[in-house]
Amino acid sequence: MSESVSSALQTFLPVGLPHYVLLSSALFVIGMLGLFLNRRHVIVVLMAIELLFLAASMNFIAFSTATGDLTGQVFALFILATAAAEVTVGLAILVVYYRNRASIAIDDISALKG
Amino acid sequence: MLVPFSPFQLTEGLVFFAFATAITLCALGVVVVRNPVHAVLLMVAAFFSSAALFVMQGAEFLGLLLIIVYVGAIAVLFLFVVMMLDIRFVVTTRSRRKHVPLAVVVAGLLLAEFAAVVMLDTTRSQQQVAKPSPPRPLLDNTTELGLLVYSDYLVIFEIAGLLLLLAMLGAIVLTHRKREGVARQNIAEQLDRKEKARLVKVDSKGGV
Repeated sequence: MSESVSSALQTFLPVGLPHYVLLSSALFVIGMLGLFLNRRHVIVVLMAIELLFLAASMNFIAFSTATGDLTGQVFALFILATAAAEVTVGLAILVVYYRNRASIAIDDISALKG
Repeated sequence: MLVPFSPFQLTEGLVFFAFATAITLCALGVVVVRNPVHAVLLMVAAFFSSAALFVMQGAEFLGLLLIIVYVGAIAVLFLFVVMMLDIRFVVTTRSRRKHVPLAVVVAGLLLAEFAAVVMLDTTRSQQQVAKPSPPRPLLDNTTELGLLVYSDYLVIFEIAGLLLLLAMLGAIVLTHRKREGVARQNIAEQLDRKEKARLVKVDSKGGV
């Protein structure tokens, strides 16, 4: 019994690349779930997109550490810049939309077709 | 036969699992929670924990950047917008709710696929390769990253700066509006003062 527990620890405890990749894929799935399921506010959709960006950069950094190559971290830096730009413009659009329509509920934005 | 692992590995594993649990729970909270302010705070917590994981992996600069950019700037931006917009709580309609099981099933499937790929690959590669430890960098992470960014990736770095500038301009142009009753400086009118106001040399005791 204690030996099996110990061997399980032996397999799972030393943190390596698979741990980080699994964590980032879990984060990605959660963010995507938020993107699809969220029917309340566009703001929460933006936050789900931020989670997706975080999952992507976590993947980049995990592989960068595993291979000892810093290029992955450079691209995580660019992902961060892109995410910041995206959220800035997204929130500005939200503010303008709220000013025009006095609501940002997703159900109301369905009028935004063609 | 079991090789006892070092206390360092034990601590590293425990810290990783603590932060990983925190990230997963906070991300789920962002998606599930009803109050957008709480969602923003949970997102900040998720980013904070990821910053800790980044530091654990040796990416100190990106960890600190994540804290500065997300916890410092983007969280405030989100909170500002959430509070400025005065969002009412929107109840989920029944027609929307019926998609929940399907979405959860699809998400579970996707996660299982990811996990299967990672697990299969590592069980195979563990037998073949004794994991080579990455070479210790000579300089610290920030210096290395700076050397790389300002030499090999200089053009992309400049383009990223341009992107941020464009985003800033876009946000200002989008949200800027002219309002009535606000005193503004009109430089053209100010410089064009032919007949409106001029300096006059007045004789002493003569008056104008």
